Amino acid sequence: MTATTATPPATDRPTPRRAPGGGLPARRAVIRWAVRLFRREWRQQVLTLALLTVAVTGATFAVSATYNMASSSDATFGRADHLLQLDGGDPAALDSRLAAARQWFGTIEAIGHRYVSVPGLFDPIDVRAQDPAGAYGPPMLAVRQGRYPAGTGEVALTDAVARTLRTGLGKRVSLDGHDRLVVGMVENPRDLTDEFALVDAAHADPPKTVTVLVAGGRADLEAFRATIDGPLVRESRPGTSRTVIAATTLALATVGLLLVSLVAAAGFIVVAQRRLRQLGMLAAMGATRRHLRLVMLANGTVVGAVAAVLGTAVGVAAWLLVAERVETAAGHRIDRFDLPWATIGAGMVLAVATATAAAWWPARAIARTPIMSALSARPPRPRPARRTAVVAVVLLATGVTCLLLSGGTRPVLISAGTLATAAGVLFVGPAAIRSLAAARGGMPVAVRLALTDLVRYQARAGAALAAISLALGISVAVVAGSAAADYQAKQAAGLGNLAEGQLLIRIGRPSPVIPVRTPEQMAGLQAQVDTMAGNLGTPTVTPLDMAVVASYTDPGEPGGQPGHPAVEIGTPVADRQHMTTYPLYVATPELLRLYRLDSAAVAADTEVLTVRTGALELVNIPERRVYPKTQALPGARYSSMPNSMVTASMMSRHGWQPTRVGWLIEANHPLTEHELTTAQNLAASAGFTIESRHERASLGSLRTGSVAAGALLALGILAMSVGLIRGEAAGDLRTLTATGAPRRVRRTLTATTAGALALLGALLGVVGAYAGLASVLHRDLDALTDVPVAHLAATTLGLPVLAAVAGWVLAGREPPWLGRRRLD
Amino acid sequence: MSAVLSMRQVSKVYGAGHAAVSALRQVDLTVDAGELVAIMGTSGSGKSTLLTIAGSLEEPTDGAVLVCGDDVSTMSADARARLRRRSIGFVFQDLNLLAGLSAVENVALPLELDGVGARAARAAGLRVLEELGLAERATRFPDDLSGGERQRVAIARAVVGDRRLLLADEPTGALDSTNGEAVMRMLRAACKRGIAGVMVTHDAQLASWADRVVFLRDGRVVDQTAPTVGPDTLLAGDVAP
Repeated sequence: MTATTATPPATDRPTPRRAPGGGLPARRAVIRWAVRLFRREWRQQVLTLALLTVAVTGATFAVSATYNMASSSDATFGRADHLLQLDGGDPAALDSRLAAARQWFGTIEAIGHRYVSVPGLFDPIDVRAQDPAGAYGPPMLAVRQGRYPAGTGEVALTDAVARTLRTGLGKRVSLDGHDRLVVGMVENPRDLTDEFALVDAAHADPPKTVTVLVAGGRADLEAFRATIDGPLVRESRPGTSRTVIAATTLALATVGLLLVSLVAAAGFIVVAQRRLRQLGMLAAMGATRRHLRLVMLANGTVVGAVAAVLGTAVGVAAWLLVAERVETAAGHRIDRFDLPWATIGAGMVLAVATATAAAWWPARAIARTPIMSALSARPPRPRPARRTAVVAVVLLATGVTCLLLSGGTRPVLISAGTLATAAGVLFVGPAAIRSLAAARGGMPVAVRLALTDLVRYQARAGAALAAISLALGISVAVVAGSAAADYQAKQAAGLGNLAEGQLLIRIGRPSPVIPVRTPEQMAGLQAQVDTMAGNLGTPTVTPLDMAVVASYTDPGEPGGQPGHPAVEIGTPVADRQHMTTYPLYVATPELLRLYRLDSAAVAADTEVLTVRTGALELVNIPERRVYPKTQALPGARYSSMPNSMVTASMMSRHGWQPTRVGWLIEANHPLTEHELTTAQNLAASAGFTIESRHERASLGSLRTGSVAAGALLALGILAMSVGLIRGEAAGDLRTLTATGAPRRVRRTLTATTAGALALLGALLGVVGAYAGLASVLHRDLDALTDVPVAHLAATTLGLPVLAAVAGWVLAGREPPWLGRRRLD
Repeated sequence: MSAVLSMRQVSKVYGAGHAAVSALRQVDLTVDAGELVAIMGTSGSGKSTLLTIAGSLEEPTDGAVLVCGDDVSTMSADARARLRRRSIGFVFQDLNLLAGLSAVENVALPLELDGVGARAARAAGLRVLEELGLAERATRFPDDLSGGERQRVAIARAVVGDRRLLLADEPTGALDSTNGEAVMRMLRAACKRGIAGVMVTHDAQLASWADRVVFLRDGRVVDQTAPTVGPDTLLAGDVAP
């Protein structure tokens, strides 16, 4: 081989004047290397990448969903800015006001409404006269099938109205005194619960009310109102737009992204430690601290960019897949491609910025590492735990204070408190590691060595512990928070509305006015109830009566039946100006039997038996301020059961009459889906409303999922960091092996490292999560008494054991680097 | 000949109190342009510490280090980094090349860090690789190079640009004798071109390639000598005119 040159290399430098720090060429070279390293070693960062991707996916999906799920004011206003409600009772006055509005606003759109009662139905049908080509209304109207009506004899119906009238496209229907042909199926695409029958506006009957849509400023509207004599019902489009809602969602997602970034920071620390020698080499070549920082920051940016692109793509794809299926839940039609791209773009930028920021701390620490320490891959000397403990105390105090002040309702304080508490828990890590290591005396040598290594390699162990604590802390917060939510819901709703075998049948809808019915009508209804009961085996049927003031007849709703007011019981609300009222049933022997009572158990002077406490007053009666003498009603606390009853003596004293309002059917088995459907069909045909047990959303699966996700994440972090720590301590392992230590020692070292980190992480996570929750719920600490023991045990005991076992099993094979020192 | 490296009464103490260890004690060393100095000594004698202090990777506890006449101890961290980019080249026993960069990119990196455009730096890197007979390996990544090739690329990187001082810590320690000799020829050739070289080695035969051998023991310079078989003799007949 020949290698020679006679030319001095001094001429190799092409540019004589250069920026002191290398300028753009240096930055470009450093970034190029960082990108190459990412492409080469991306598997080392797959956990961080996956975590960020999931966070971005969640944020993108949430932003897309809230943007599209949010109810739009277009449902009411169309393209208009305001609406006026005019009474059609006086046609001349109506014409005059419409003319005034037209003159004032220029273009207006009037939509007429007539409310038509249909036999057997309690809610009248809105017969709507609207021009499909109106100035402002088109967003509120769409044809699903057929066409819009034209002329007096045509009508278009919404699905529900068609079902109610038992008609359909191409059939005839008698409505509002006209025989009409159904020529179309229509809907309000912005509000699928808006049910109506659409008629040709040019040939409609005089309306009962008219909605006038107008455009203009708020001041314009108020100026117009000043020109009108008498009341004018008006409404303006609310200021909160879908974009604002989506942006708010993004702001909330940002908090989640920041929490994830703390885990990502721990991941970047591990990556930085892995690259320590190469970074030392770069420094030896003349790279400045800024260049070293840039390597890690560029890595963070690349990870963030990849996560942003992947996460956004997955989030948007997920939304496109489910968009159509959530239209019913949203209550309006959804254009799946109508996405808040600017907000989603902002989310992507935020993800990149968050990942870059997460890489900042590791980058700073690495840049400050002495070059020789970096070249020899010596971990930085552990800092005194006292310093980080002080920071932890300050952060925890700040976090708890913010959460206390938030009262559970102020998002900014909750976000700040959550982040400060999370950061505080992370800073406790080094002190926790040292405390655990301090207790190693008297333990087997392998355990002692493993615990000592945790302190020796505190930078890596601390980062891993921080990430594990955070992952498990979030998991525990979800578990404990959902348990608290369940507790509060249970407190609010008791055992639920009804038992699983109960069916509550009401004649019509609950109303303070009970229609007067003939004995024949009642006999017919009773027959229907008997039929329903017959379909449920041999249930107990308890008739339910309410006390009515027979001396007063209420004319009822327009087009409805007259009736008598039902006596109700009320409790004053906080302002003392209003009452919350509850139905008051007649304490019949059958009803008392439901509560395992007989007449003898009711005190002679008792006027009302009730589960309610506090000041109670009878309402819907001619007399004022009647406070009955009450007796507590024992037994189950199903909220829809007849929970207040008036005694016969009270009835006779006031001259109230019992009137049948419904029945309670109790089957001896939980009602099946089929039985409920049959009962619903019978009830619809008879004009009943029925109520069965509402299934309460169970948060149990959420808790299990949360524990599983937290455990998986923690195990991933452990897999990433335990190998690194044990690799660093390879020299000790070589020495142990050389001195004849068996394979069991190697297993114990790894198992102890993994188990100790998992245990500390779980404990810190639990403490942090409960500290945060207790601060938020400090006014209702009882909510935290329902401790999800199984889930917490899985986290605090199961996970460390699992980590230790996994470490023990995986450490069985002798690593290839054990016999010789690793080169680059 | 002008002194490229001048170490005056340099001492280095690691740790403090009872744990203090003196790695270097009042070492004086001057290396002129074109001179190759070998540092020999037992383990723990302070050879590597001397090299890292000479290369501004570490600061001495006491004494002065001048590179090209500039006192390193008065320089800021950025100025020392600039000095390393422009005037000092390192060759370590292992871990010399950055993974992810090809051979020519590794060679060009110090120039790019110093602000030379990527194209010009690459051209300069290729030129040096050609001069050292490694042109065909220019686009290979470190994983694809043999141990000897990696060391030779590292030497190319250490001499690219206006380097005045080449510091090599056991540069042949991980190589077989054939590759080790090839590397020594390159170091020798680089010094022939006017670069001052300092090489740490255990191997007396390799030290014989140097113009001067400095012996360290317990952090002190205990002897200096010129090898009886000088480098010119070793190179005779092998180095093209």
